[in-house]
Amino acid sequence: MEEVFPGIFEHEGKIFTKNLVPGIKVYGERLLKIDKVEYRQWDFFRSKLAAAIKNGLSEMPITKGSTVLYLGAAEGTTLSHVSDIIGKTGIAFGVDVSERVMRKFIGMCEQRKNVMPIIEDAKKPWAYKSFLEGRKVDLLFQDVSQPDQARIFLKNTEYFLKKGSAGMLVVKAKSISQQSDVGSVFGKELGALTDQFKIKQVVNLKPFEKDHVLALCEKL
Amino acid sequence: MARDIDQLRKSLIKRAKKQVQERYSETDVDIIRAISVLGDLDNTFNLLAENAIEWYGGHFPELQSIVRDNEAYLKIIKEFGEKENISEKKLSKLLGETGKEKKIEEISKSSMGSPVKKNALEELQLLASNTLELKSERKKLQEFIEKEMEKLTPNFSKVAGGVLGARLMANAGGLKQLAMMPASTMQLLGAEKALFRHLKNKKINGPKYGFIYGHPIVKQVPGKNKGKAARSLASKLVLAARADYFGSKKDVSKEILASLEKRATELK
Repeated sequence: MEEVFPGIFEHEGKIFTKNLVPGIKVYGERLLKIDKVEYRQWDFFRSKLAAAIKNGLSEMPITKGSTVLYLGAAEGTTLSHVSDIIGKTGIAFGVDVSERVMRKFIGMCEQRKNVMPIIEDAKKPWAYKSFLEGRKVDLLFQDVSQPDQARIFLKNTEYFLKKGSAGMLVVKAKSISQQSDVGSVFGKELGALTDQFKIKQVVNLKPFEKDHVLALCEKL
Repeated sequence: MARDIDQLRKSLIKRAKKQVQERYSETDVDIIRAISVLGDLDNTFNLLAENAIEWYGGHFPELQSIVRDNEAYLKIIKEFGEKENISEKKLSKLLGETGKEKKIEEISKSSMGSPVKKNALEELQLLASNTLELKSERKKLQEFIEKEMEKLTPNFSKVAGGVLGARLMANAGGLKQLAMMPASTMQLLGAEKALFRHLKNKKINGPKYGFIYGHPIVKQVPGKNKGKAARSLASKLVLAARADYFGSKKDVSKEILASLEKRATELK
């Protein structure tokens, strides 16, 4: 086990996080016990953040005790690993608009005391801002399949990010336009962020996800 | 501090649970599930029926070209078993007068099929009768859908028809989404594949209709006018859906159907 980022470990080409709730799997992932510590394998194909780490993400803005706002939480696959990383002292808010996928997510929240479910539309940050009780977050992560991904990201930035905090935006080209060239879609979406963010790195998620990039940026 | 967070967490979980519960108590959820089951029942029925027919074909190969209807064919397997048992009289009792009974009996006597083993026939008959059960479940389910649609969307379901209406609603994602939908989207629900093929390559013509192709208004007009009929129908369907979702309980379906009939006669 080699620690690549705080709380994230590499072993035989796969990455792992320390299981916050030992013995319990979240989405059928592999559990690995080394020196009495239980690790959960982080699937590159199921989680875009894992895919980005595999493809050479240069820094990881979260560590023990961080506060995270995660838009597009879905069933909470990625968020469960985020929960492992931030540990008991951290807080992660997971926002998703669909009750269907949140059914599973709520079950996870009951096991992991640092994860909170919010069923709201990420397009309307004012609808859930009161739940964060004025907290600013260390990382704003967004992975939604909507045509106006950059705009949603900026709206949330306004409420929840302070200067120097990190943002991660997954851009799904096919949600924005079925027809235009993938490269120009990425350029346009990321270009919209440059007023407020310094884009540090853009990681392509091939071969784990088609036509996706993850942009790591810092609030100016 | 830690206790505050715990309290916040508990209240957020409670809120989320309530939201999930509310979503699943909405009236359109059952219909959306039921219409999905209906489609699967049809597929399964056809799949099993084809298997049974193929199997019985070794014993009585000529039957398939005479009895085209899968359901009728299965009934014959279930009722008679060996082809030697088939009789004109019983056939007309089983399937109603079709005019083919005599022919079937005659051919069964001179058939080129090979004899069937007794235990194989038992299996085959069991398959036929279970497959027919699917058909009866489908009928019940269809009644359920029609009844529920009538309750939930009195106007829309009258204009669209129960099952077609339910299919449109399921595809849209619910009654609310249906009512918010532009008519052009309604027109192409179910034709997404063709639509995106067209959007990617403009040389391929776009689709003119999706699910609503099966609606009587579209069916009754000749081919070159079907697109026009689909356009009119879609715009009226959207009106009906909005009347159901936003409006008072007023019945506007008669008015809508009358104007659609008029349009259909124009297009003939």
